[in-house]
Amino acid sequence: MERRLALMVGLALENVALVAAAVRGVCLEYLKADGVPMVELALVEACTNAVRHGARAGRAETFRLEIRVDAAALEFLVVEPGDAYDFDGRQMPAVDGDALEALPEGGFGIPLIKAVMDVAEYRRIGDVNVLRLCKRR
Amino acid sequence: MDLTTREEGGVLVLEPVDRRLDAHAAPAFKTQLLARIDAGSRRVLLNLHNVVFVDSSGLGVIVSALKHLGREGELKVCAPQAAVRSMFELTRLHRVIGIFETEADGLKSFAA
Repeated sequence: MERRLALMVGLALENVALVAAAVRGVCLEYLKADGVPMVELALVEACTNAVRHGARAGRAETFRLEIRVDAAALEFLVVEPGDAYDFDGRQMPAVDGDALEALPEGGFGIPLIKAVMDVAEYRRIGDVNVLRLCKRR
Repeated sequence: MDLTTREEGGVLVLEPVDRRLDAHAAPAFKTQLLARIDAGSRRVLLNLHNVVFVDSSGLGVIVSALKHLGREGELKVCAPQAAVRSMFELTRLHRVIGIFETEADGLKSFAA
């Protein structure tokens, strides 16, 4: 049996914690408990990017999060009205304790998404970015 | 963003009261953290036992504090919940930031 949920989210960072609560609730229902924090992390990173990209582009006031659950997996679509960006090329920043001044303070978000989800696919469709994230049940 | 502050044997122990260190909380967290560091010791133990969630923005603030302290300072983390500890491991920041199970263990490490 397939179940679907869609949320329209205002482009403000304070809304991301609300999305996280919704995602956590769905995950607690359909995933093993130990998998929930990493899915929440991936969705927070994706939705934070959606807010930032969307607000920067200034073409809309919301982005959309779709959640689909079936027997095999949880699927999340983050559809946001920002400019195109390089998802596939982002790698985890290098961390070198011998180069304190060069330690990265950012750039972890997309690599974290890729690291914790079973599927993380980016597509540019028309003038929106669509990020598809899946976690097997 | 509230941070409690204590001095324990020359170590500044900072403890976020908020449960989430995310992109919304990060700017205020950074302001508070750097201000407390500038006003106190160069040896800092960040006790994260209250924190249930850290994202990449929250981690970025901790890295920023580490860099702010420079080579003459030290920053360590204690009492992270499992999901928070995973963030340090996934990003490999545990290689440059000492992480301890308890505050006592963290404090002891400064004396070593």
